[in-house]
Amino acid sequence: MTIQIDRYISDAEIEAYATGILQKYGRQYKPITAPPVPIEDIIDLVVDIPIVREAIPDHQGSPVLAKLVARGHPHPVLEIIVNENKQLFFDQYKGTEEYSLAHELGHDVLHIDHGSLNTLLLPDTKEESVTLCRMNLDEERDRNAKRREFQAERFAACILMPQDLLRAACARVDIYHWPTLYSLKDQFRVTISALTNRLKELHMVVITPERKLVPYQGQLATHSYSLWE
Amino acid sequence: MEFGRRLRDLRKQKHVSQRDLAAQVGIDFTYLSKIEVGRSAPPSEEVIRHIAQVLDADEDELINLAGKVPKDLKAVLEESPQAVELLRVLSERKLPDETYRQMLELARESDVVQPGKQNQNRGDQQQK
Repeated sequence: MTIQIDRYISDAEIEAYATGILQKYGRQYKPITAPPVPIEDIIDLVVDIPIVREAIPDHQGSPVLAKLVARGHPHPVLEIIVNENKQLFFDQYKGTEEYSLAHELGHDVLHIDHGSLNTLLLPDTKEESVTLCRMNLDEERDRNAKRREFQAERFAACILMPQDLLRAACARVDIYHWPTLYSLKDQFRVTISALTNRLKELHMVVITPERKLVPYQGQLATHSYSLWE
Repeated sequence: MEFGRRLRDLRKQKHVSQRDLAAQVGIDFTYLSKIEVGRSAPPSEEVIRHIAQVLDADEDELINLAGKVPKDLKAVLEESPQAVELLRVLSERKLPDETYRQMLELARESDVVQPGKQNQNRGDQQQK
């Protein structure tokens, strides 16, 4: 029985889920007033999903950084498994571990029907765990699977780069300058592409085909954006 | 309750992250993450005691949950077949608390105190 939820979720709703979790962390622990967002603590201490480091084999020939699984009989619990064999990669490419964690949290928040979790693993099931929200090669054309991935990415951006923190950080610096953005991505512990995507989504910056950073300029910029991208 | 689950609960009550706890007790945080979900066996008695100190938790409770016999008790059990027999008899019966209290008093009144345990024993009595 599936416990996955496939539906259209608006950007505003995704942002609201992320903001709600950040506020809960603020109430229970301490308000987040500066980057980076402590995503590992949020998942571990507030959302209460164990994060386990263990080896994850490649999936259909592709490396896997992290995954969301349900484990245990007869009452399965969710866990986020982070591939411990990718620690060097995570260390080398700062922000990738945090983004992977936030992405899996996105699946948990947006795509898991928690009320039906106990129906997932039947008592006579031999399987040790079930991987959730995984995209298979034969599913690549599956609109739902792609949409789930897109939504989880969106959630990760919203929770790691909350609008208030991002706007406050950008207000103090010249964001039309690449070195500034590289400094910002270090502060938020995200990748440069994650940061620029978020800034573009929020219409805070436009990247020209010549890789120049320019301010968003209403209709013209929106039109150009769609042509360039 | 399982050791790992209890450890995770205690850590969360104290608002300590896995990485912080692991660093404080000198183990790898990836190992701690496995212990908490039961994927790895509990650590050594020394590490468990260290964890209990950091989390301000009951050392004996954690050691028991880990299925370990504390070193000092292990030595007694190895030396004294009667002690083993006593524990076996106790494990087979459900005795009232009063009986345990009387047995403890009797044991504490004994003249023979194990070498090196005198101060600890006296401390126990003072606490009572």
